[in-house]
Amino acid sequence: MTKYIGKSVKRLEDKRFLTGQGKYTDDIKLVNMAYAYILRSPYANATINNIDISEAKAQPGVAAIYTGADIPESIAGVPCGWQVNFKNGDIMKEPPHPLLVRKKVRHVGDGVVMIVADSRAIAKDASELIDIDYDIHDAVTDPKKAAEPGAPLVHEELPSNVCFDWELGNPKDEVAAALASAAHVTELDFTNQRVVPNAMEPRSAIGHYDTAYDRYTLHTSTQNPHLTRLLMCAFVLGIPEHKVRVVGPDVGGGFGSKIFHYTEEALVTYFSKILGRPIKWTADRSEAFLTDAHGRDHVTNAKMGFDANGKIVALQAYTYANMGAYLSTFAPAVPTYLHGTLLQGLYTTPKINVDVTATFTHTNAVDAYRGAGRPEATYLLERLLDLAALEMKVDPAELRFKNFIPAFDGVTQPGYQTQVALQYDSGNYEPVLKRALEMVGYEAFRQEQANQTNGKLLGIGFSTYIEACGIAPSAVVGALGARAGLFESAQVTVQPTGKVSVYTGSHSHGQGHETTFAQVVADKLGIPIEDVEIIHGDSDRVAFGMGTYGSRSLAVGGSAIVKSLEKVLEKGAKIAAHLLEASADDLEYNDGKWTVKGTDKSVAFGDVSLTAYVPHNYPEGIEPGLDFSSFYDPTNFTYPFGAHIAIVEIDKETGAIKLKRFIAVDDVGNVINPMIVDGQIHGGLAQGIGQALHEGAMYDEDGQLINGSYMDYCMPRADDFPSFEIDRTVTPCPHNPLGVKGAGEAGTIGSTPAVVNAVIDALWKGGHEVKDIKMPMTPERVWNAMQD
Amino acid sequence: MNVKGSHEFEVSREKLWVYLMDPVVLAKITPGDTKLEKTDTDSYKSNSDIKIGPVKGSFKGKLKVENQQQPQSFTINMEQMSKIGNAHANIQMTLEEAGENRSSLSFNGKAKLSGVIARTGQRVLSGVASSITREVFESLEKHIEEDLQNASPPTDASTLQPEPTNTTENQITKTTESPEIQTPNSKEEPSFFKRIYQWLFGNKK
Amino acid sequence: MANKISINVNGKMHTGAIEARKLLSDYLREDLSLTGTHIGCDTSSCGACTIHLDGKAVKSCTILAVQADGCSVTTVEGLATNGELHPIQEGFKEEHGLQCGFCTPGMMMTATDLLKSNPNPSEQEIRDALEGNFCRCTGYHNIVKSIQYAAKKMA
Repeated sequence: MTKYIGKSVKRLEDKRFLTGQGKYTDDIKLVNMAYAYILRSPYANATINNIDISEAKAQPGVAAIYTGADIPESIAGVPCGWQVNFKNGDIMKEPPHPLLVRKKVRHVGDGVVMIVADSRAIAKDASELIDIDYDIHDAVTDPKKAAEPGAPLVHEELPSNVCFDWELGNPKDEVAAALASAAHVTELDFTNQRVVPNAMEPRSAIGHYDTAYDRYTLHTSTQNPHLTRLLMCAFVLGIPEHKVRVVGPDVGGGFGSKIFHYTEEALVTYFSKILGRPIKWTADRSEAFLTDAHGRDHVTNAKMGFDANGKIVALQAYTYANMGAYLSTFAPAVPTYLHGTLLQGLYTTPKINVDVTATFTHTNAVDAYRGAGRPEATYLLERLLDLAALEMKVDPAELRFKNFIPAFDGVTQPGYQTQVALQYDSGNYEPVLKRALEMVGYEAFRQEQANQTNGKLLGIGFSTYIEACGIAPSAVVGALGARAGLFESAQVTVQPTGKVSVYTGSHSHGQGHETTFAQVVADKLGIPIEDVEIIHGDSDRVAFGMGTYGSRSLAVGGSAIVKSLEKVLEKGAKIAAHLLEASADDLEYNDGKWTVKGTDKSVAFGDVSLTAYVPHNYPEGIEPGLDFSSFYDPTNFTYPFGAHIAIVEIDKETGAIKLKRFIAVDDVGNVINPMIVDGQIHGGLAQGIGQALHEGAMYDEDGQLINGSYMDYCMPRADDFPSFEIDRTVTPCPHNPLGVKGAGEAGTIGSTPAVVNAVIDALWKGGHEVKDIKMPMTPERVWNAMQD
Repeated sequence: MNVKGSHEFEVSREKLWVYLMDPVVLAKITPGDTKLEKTDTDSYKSNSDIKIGPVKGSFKGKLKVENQQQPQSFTINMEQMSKIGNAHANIQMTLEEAGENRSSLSFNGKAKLSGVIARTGQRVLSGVASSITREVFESLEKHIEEDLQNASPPTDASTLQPEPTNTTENQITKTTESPEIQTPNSKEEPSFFKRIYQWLFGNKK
Repeated sequence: MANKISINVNGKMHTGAIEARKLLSDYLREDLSLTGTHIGCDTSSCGACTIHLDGKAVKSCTILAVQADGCSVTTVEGLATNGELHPIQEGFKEEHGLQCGFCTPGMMMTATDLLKSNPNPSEQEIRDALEGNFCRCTGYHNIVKSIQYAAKKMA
């Protein structure tokens, strides 16, 4: 019996946000706090000859000015958390990412000087009086060009810009042979362009050193405070972890960009002790553009072969992945274990090979951005499929039905073993596409398209995706190069009065954990949801955590909570049995009370919890208290999937695209709160569609980010979208207690290729048989594609 | 950003060279209140206030005239620094004969922008640059026309080598206090860079 | 350079000396600790700082605090009355119009201004009115519904 699970419970956290009382990092003021401004390199590749801070330092209100020279050599910089070695076994190239550059800047936005003053305005003013003499060198920004001999080196101590190369799947010659004997081969060269995450809250960090307790506190806009603490303490500053508290208060969106440990966090922490004052740094939007880890940036060539019946026989993919100038925390995992491993898609392709070269360029770091690798894999597969359907003149939906992996539940039938390492947990792919086609009114649409007379071009695009969430188990990801475990922890503290505090290592920055997790707890314990509080984001309150990313919170963090709840109930049953003078085996737990089966003898949860803390009449051999911690390490990833369909209309005169409809049918396993899942899908769709139609970070050949502001970078707005039409199917995850798969990234992963495919379809219907239009598909690009 | 263009003038190549190397001429036709300070032969320091689209700032710069191959070519190497960003440009100027008493001036080079001006509004700058280029050529052309009508054209380049000037470096330096270049005696002063400003940064009006 | 200003914020008079160059958004956040008004950009594009200035929705980063001298300002903190949520706040809660909450104050201030001039807006009119407010979480879908909810409630 569930009172809350599966219901659209309104969010418990909303009130503080609706009344302006959310507490984001920049809202926090500490006594005697100083404000930092970081002066950054205006050049992509330059040598610093001299830094003159004398005039700035003399300004009234300036507390201190720090350069790389003020940081001991022992603090080399922020580390990378994932190691992917070369095919030949050579170790991944991992040059240091200094907190402040001493000698050579490697991308526009590289931090050079930190000015600390009584106000941000004073710090910023003072920064304008600092004179830095640079020698400017040539830069390289394209990941493929960076790998060419003679390209300007990002790290001069390395032999080339190649960070690592990597390969997965069947041997290349087997794939080549299958392609050679294919009846049809579709080949596509494309770029999955770089995008900027653009969480609405710019990053912010406050470092504070308390001399009385010899303890640091870092407030930071992060998705995972504990990992930030671990990385900063153990790998950057070398300070004992128990002497550091990291708090991620309310966080205004992350989308991946706030997973990583950033230099500014270490800077404010380190210098707060030296200065003897708390130091706050808050990025302005311009800095966010330059320094928040970006997403995507793959240059790919891919070939997909089909037999005469339209069955896929092979896939070969070559990708150059841009790492930026330095390796961000999870960067190496994105083009490899989050991308290459997903190239089976939903299809039975028997031969797959993926080859990835990751390169350094003179650009900001690239790392996980909503979907992280999976959108790139989906884009690759789904673009090829729709294009192949056009080339072979077959229906794109039919082509998919022909190639879908047959249904398997992962319980009575085994998981599906892919050619690219993963074993899917459970899947039933036909229904999502069938439902989406129904919602579109597919036949009627095709007729409307064929009979169109209004001078516009209608197009429909498909994308049937799979993703991998909640990546785990720790031993497996460790073998793949992760330097962290990917479990989650949860502590359930039942207070004497029966109220419940839950401490989770997951972090909520918009996902609504304070509601969803409370629904799970309230139902499992049979208590009112008001009696549950979810606590997260503070390393002093939550013992440990791995944070929120990769759509893992409920699948991994939620499962850890369930484990602790089970322990609570198990111990509670023993106490209840004692109180009821019965055997624990004869009790059942329902509706917040233990009842002796077949009788009306019962004891309430609150009575048991009170007894646990006032153990006067108490069973022998059992400790007082009702408080359990658990760590949950999943046995596999979870694999949500879905079908997305876009309908666009192109103005032939201008090339302008109107997204007329967007249909998404997703299967994210069991759903705890449908309202929240829908919201996650909506937001994901907007970001995926944004990449297709609006967004794209543009570096010029000198390494300047030429659209580094909201006046230049096209953020999707309300009037860019129709209302989304969404639905779902439910295929439970067989290997976690809640049967959930994760919903945070699905929308982003599926939507981008659907939109591009729709535009290509429209153009083909208009007689323009183009294979690709670069994203973002601006009117100019579309118009040019029609001028053949 | 590539900057490129060419224009024909009703004047011989030798005379055009002299015009281009004459700071007085160029000062006249240059809208702007740039301050100049000579630092070395063919090298100058400058200060100017510039507004480009949404951003505005004070630029400090260096300019160098290099590779002078009178009368056919020279290079302008400049660097302008400001808190809103920096510009570095290297521009090859080529003068060619284009029939009797006609010559053409073409320039080709690269301007590299950095800082705020690079990431805010750069996409519109190349458009701005080309219209400014046109303005620059037009006002130079107008100046030459007026100058010829006044029948006081500069003497032929062959006889117009930089005169042994009685102006000292100090006197040129003093011009930094003036909003316009005032170096009546220093014929070798190549203030053509002000034109480059205009290509890059727009019209201060 | 300090300038003396008097501003009525959420029904309360505030008088003080402030730097002439200080933006209204910074004044609200720093001087009055009304941190519900958020700053999401430096180009007056994102709308997170939207407030009401004499009853009109204005991005508080586009005006200087001294320009608001003698004016009446309402921020998100002033929307609810006596602990009772304003219909727009209720709408955002009921229709899940917020996720991370960062854009929400600005969205609600823009929306209430819209509903004043257009009490029964169409979906397209709502989307057009939100043109100056960015949200990265919701895809705007539920924000539109939230505003429709408030419109109905206020009718």
